[in-house]
Amino acid sequence: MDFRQRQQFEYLRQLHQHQVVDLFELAIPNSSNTTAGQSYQERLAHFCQATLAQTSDRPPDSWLARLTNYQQRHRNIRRLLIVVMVVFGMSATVQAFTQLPASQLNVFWLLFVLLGMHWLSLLAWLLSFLFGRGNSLAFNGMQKYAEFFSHKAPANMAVYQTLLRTEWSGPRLRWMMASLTHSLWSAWLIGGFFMSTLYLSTHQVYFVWESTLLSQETFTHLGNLLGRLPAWLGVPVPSADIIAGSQMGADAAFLSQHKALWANWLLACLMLYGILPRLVLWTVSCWLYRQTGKQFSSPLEASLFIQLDQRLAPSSQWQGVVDPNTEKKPTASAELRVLTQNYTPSIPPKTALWAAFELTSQTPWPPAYVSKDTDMGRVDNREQQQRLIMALRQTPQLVLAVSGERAPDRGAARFLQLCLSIPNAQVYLMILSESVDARFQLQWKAMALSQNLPLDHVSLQRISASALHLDPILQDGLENVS
Amino acid sequence: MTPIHIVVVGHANAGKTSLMRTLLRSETFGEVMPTAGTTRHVETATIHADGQPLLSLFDTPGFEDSIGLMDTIHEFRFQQNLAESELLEQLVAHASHSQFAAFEQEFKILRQLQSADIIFYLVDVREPQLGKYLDELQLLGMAAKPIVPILNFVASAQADTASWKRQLAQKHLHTYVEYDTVAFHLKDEQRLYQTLQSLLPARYDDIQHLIEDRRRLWQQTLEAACELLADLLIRAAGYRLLTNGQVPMARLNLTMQDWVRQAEQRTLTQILQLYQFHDKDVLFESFPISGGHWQLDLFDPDNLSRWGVAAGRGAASGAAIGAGLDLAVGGLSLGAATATGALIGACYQSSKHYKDLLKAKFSKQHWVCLDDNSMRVLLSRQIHLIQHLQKRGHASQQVFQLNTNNNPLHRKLVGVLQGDSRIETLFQTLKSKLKLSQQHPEWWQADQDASSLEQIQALQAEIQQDLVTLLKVELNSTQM
Repeated sequence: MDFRQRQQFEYLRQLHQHQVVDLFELAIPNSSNTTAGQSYQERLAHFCQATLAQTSDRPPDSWLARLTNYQQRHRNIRRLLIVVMVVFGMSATVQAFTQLPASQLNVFWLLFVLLGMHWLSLLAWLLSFLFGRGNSLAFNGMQKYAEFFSHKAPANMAVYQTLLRTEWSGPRLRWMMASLTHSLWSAWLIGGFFMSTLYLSTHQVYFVWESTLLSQETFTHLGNLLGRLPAWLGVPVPSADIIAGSQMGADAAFLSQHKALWANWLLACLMLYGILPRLVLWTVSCWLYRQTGKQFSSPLEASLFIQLDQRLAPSSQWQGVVDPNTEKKPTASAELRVLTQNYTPSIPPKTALWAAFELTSQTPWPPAYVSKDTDMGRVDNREQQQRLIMALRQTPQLVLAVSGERAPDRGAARFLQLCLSIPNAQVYLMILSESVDARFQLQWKAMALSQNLPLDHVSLQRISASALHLDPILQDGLENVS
Repeated sequence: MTPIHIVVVGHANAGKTSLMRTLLRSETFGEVMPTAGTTRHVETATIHADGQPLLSLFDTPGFEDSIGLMDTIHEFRFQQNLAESELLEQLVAHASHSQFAAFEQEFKILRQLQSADIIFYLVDVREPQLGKYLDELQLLGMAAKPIVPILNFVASAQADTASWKRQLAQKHLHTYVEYDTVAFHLKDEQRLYQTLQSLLPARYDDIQHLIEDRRRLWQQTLEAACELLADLLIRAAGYRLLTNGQVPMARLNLTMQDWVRQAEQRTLTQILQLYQFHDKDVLFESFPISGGHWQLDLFDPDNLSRWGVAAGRGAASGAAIGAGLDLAVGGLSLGAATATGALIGACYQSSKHYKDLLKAKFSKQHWVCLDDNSMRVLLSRQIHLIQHLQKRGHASQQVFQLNTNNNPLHRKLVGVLQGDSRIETLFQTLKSKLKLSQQHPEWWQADQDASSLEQIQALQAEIQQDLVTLLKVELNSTQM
């Protein structure tokens, strides 16, 4: 993902945070399926592009145009500054040349005037580069600037916050400031160089040096030192003799003879010690500025974008009811009848068969008080159901134990109906539960009622892990019968 | 690309709709109730990978009377003299026959079986292996489609998973998936999808894509939640009120508590949204959240024991006086400042840092900050919330009560809450990092500077990473 894309994501986030655009409202799953199959990043990039292309609060500009307009404006300001600096450089040079006596130019003084400030600022920049920690001053400056120009309007703030976060902070800001400084100084120096060349091409001047404090050797040495690099590059420069001889008040013929050499020396110094280092540094900082853009981490992992993606590409989608329900729930009225009825469970006859209908294997069976003859065991499948029905045809009395912890289903209802359909059938439903109040006793009772089983044939029984405990009334009844 | 057509079947109340909800990450799909026959229609939804529908799930009403239906079908087959292969088709064609009148619900399932690619058969492993369940498998056999038995409620104490596996093996069903719809685990879901891969080799890559997409989502969601939590912690730690002793402490405390409460609420809302609990009315019965709010106030003294915070002394009241500011921190930037502009910059920065400190020193003012115990509760609650949401199936209906011991899920949760020293360890780690937030009041000024911005971001990333590390370990260690 390139820097521009990441910057746009950040812009999107800022627009959302400043409540300029409600992204959650805009993020709707794409019905035309253009985003289907795209990756997380592609989807969000697509969304980002579409959102930023919308018309902003300042028509006809799009949101993206608002950001790029600001960037364009900054580029323009920068260009203007460069032009201004070229003009400054030119006028400063002209001033430097004309301030000196017309025909005799103090060559070292001129060099110092043209390059001195540049050297000083370069040194300061180097020092701050090597030892400076943050660039809070620059950042604060940019922030004040941003605040001033945004007029506190949320949309502008979003733009500036984006620029502050992506371009005007951290190492990126450092290199931006560096490239700005170096570009302006380059402009100034180039202007100066141009004017110097123009001035020296159209004026006949002699170059001298003068001093009150320093000796001749100092100047000879300095002249040689500065001349070494141009000489190495093949530019003819004044030799030590010529430098020594060019002191103020020297013979006019001597000066005239070497004026071209001095002019070359001066221009070469301007070029090599002024323009060239600045241009190199400018290029390097521009390159580093671009490189640091890569360091700006992608905001895509932020919770905002994850939430947006959840909306853009929902992980699932409800598709509706395909085969609707046509029958009503039948148990509601029966349940009501159960609730309003008070009853005492009646006692099953001693001869009744006992059967456990679909109980869990943990439920103990048979209960102690059920004799082997009457115990029909567990009824868990079709064959056992049929066996019980066969037995019922002989003895049509049945105590059917069911689990109150599980809901009755239609299969249970059908089986109860089957039992009841036997001539003279007397069926007792015993709801087993570990707690006093079985979870599904109401449903079981309602089911019994709907199968026309009298409610007093339904009772609730406590069970523990080891044995069945009978309802006291039932217990008494059973004992009396036996 | 046509989605894979999956029909979810099972006995009434085996958890079909719950499975749908968990797979769909939607707490509003269908209706879930503990009684038989809650779902009485066929409802469908699609599962997407990268926005593309990949699975089409059909939630059916449960089988309730498979024994009766089997008998009726036998009769019908005998009457019509049908071959096994044409049975299902003929049954669906004769669905309106009077002999099938009682089986309208079951016929809804049979109709869906015709177009299914795969059948998910939900098994409640707490149930004994009753004849009716085996008949259900027999009925499903008519479709001649691959069946994936899904063993639900395996985490339950009454689970009899081994017997069910034996029973299924006898029916030639050897590839089953254990999938608890209440306690969600990403690994279980992956296993379910991997089973699909093995049954539908032609769609292997598509399903792989889905698996990876879900993993990405899971990871991203966790990271995003930790980001939100890290932000809350840094802000709460940095919040402070300046007092000169004239405003009563109780009032300051209230102001601060309000601020922290609101910040916590914002984070809660965002985290819930992140985990796609959009609906404010969703019942958070298994966690002390209702209507999108915490049930117990952050500053309630009960919180300490409730969230397993080992309070050294006193209860959490919220306020603590004057967190010491580290002078050395400000000094550093001054010492390192060099050269022209940088010096001015450093002075400016340090003066900003010292301004409040010095002002307070001379005017005998002090700060009120959030105390450690409140910070602990704040951290602990959110950690538990994220843990809970990561593991929570969207079908969860369990009741959260810290003193009920009959549910293993609850016991597990209580265990996490009471014996968790990892959260305390994390708190100690974070405490030293959060101190930075307290020491830099300028971070929270309107015109925060570049270094503040960077430092906040760095700290947030660091704390987020700590949280992610803890939560990942948490989840892996409790994985079954």
